[in-house]
Amino acid sequence: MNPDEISQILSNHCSLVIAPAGHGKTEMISEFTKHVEGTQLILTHTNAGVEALIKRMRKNNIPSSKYRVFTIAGFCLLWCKSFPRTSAIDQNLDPLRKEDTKQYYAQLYKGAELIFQHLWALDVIRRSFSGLIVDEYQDCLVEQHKVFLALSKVLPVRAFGDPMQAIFGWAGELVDLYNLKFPQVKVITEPWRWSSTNPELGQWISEKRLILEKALLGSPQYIDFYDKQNFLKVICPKDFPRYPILNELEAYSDVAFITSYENKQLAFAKSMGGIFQHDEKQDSEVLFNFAESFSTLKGKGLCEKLMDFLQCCASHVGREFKSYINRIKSDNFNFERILKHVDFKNILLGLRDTGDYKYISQAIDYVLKHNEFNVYRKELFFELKRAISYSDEKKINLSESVAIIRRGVGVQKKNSTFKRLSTRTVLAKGLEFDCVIIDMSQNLDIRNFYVAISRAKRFIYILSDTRRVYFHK
Amino acid sequence: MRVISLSVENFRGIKHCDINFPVKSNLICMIGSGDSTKTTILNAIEWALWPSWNLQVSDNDFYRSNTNEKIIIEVTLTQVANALLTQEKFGLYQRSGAIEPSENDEPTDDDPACITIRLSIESDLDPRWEVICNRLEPKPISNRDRQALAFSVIGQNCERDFVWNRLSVLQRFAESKEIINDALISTLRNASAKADLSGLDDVSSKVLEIGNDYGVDFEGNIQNRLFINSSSISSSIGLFDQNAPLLQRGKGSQRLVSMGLNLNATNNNAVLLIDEVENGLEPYRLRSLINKLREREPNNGQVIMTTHSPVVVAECKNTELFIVRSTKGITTLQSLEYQSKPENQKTQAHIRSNPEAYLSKRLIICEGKTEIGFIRALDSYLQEKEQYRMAYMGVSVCDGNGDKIFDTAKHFVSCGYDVCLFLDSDKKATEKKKAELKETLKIPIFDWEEGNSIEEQLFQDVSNSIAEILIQIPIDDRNFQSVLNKLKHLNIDVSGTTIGLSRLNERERKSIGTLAKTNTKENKPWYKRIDLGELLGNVIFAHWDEIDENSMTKKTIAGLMNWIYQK
Repeated sequence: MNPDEISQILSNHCSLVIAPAGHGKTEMISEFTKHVEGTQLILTHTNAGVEALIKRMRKNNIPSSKYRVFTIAGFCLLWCKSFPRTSAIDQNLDPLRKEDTKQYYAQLYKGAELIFQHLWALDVIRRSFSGLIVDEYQDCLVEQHKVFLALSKVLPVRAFGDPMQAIFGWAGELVDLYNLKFPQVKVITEPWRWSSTNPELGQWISEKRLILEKALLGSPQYIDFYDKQNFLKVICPKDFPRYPILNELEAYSDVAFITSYENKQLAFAKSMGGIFQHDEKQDSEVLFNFAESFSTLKGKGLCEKLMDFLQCCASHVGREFKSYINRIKSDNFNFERILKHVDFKNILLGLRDTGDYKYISQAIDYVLKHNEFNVYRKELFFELKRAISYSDEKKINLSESVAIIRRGVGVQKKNSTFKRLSTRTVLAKGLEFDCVIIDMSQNLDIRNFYVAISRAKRFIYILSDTRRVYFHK
Repeated sequence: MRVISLSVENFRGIKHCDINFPVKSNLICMIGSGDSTKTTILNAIEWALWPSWNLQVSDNDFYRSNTNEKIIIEVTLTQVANALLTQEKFGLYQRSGAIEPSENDEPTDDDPACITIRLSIESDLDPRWEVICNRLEPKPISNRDRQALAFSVIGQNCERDFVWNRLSVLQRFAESKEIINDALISTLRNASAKADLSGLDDVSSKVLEIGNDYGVDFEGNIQNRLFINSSSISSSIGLFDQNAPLLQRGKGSQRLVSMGLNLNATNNNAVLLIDEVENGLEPYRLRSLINKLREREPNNGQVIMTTHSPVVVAECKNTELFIVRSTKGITTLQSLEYQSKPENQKTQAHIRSNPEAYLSKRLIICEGKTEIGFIRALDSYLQEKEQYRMAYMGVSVCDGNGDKIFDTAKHFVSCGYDVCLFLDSDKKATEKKKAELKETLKIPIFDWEEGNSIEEQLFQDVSNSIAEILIQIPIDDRNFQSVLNKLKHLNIDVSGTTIGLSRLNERERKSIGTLAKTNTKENKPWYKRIDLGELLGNVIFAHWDEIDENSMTKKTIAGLMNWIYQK
């Protein structure tokens, strides 16, 4: 971002900056933050986004006093929890309770908007920040946009986004970036993401973006995929994963399988024998349901549930623990004659007798330690363990604890350290990987497709039966 | 900044206390008899806002030294420094006032937003400071953040304000650390002591200015100099007036300048706690100080002070005065502000005419000056015969101003004072009011046989020889002839300049009392001055044993003595 562009943004009260994926949007935000006075309130959609922004700020040595980064929901939640009555959110709803979550979030943004009608609240904002930066503005719900309009009474708003990446549509009506009232500031951009990794790929993605934009504006387009030695390979889905690409993948430090379907994401992780880790969504029903079962069950039931959980996260559990599973089912805890996994015996007996969750943690560790198992949902393992120690520390039940560590501001933690990830477009947005494997065996729409390809830094595999794919609105 | 409420649990003499200070007034003056925990209230506020991390706590700081019940002090402040009201600090903890824990305390557009700081100390004596509200978990407030609270205490150790050390108010005017360090090094290098402290001179001119403002004069320029003999290097630079360190000025002057410095340091919006504001100050300096404190601009700070001085009470508005009382560990604060304007004006009049009365627990409200003097004589008699003084019983006298005595009594009763009346019975019209007061407010009334004033009753009940001593008082005060003129129609013996009354009967003797109180142009009343009333009383008590046990005089005064001694 050059000084002219910065001063142009500063001369508007509110501005919109459009930057395609990989064109240094995060860098722009960081640069802008560095050059503008005071503390910037930076809001984005996902925890991954928050993490990426903070990482970049640190890398660029921006003093931490110059910015505060939150998810939009986290920020609104902070305020609505602080002023529940002013927010007018139904007091009986608890955002951490599973059955309430949906309803609570439906009222959350309206609640924040209500709070920011008051001078005393805006005063706090004015004292705390000198400007508001919203990342990924294309993904903002209309309700979220209204919160920012309320804040714009005391803060200049800088919206950064890319209409091509608006893929959160399922959450509600999105703000239309093309019709936003904020004046657009044109910023010269370059495909930075690929300049040091694979400029050819960057070039290719930019070209495809132009085609996709046309499709998005209403004229159907097609794209022909030809293998390119340096960045692209098309593979027939039925040849994968048997296809000997696993060796090829060794060349990349991180690889993501990207689909837009939840079932395919899991099936892929499972089929890869623990090499690819399943990327869990923040509101992981699986985790919530297990935690709730654990906190209500005892004895035999609890042990049974534990075995279910292990089976859900790793393969070969049924085979390896067969003797245990069968005995537990018939309420027979005489494990004397079991010769396989002898040490596991005490874990199960301990759990049955005491109901102490530490045995669940031990069971998890056991499975992680033994090579017979292929764990493909390590995130669930780690998060359940974290929830167990958190519930122990805070003296709350496991169900609450899971809800807090997954949803609570400040305690959320993303296990984004897996080098091989099976994920979805909505989860991968904002992240980047050396190599991505894009599942196009089923339809991928314009924006999801753009998000998927723009995640790759070096190489893209396309899983598709055909080399020509049509895109239309 | 202003303190708008305070709640205290188990701190020193306070078991429990919940008080609200008026938001409007920037001057709060707490009065109350000894042990009413006034100073503890100031200490509680001071502790809750304590600017450093270390606070010396001992078991004795717990109520009745019972460390099982933790000390909790909650101070609610308004107009707090903006730096503390950010989202990250305590902006989300704003509330609309000090509100019951179960109630909605979210800010409103009409009330000034405030925050509540809670200090809690358990038996480990480890103090914890937190900001609390009814919606969120308490959030610790660091000593650094507490230092941002515009607040200072004028206590016993205002000396520190004239020396550059860490806690000195001088630090708020200039950043001294580097300058002083450099100066110390250079001093140590060349023992000629040519230290350059000119960087601190801004303060000096401010001190001069404040001196002018608060009535403290200086001989010359105020300079910063090394205290060469100081053992502590960190506090070895202080303010000098010519060659005299300001530390050597009188206590009062020190306190005045210290107050001025503290107020100025925070653009006048500080909360200033002053214990015994009258300390070391003459009435005229005190009066001008009170006005100064009240009128500072901008008007968003607050002075909370205690006093034992009637000068201060008389100088205060009724809206600024608060009576502190402590019963069985429960401390209460009573405001003297009323709803209606006339009521407030009346109260203000009482404050002006009887400032001293507000400083005691129990009051003998006297009809006039004769009675006040008489009670003084009674006090001397009690000291001599019974070995106690009225003050030990928390009793003091108050002038009821004649006919206004009933209003005065009602006022003090409504202010929570234990009150009795001491008055004449010679006016028909007032007898009804007396009865009413006795009935409705249960006020003990000490008076005389119907139709009698104090003079009539006393003359009626004493012997002729005592009556002779009594009339010696007006003789000495005025002259022999004027007294004689009044009495010459009676059956008296005149020899030289003495008047003998040995031939009088009771009725005639009583008539001397009637003559004594009459007020005409040529005949002023004989005993209607405090000193004369006291002389009158002295004579009566000197001959106390000679007076008939069944007389009204004996009964009334014995009743009064019982009332004084009752608690």
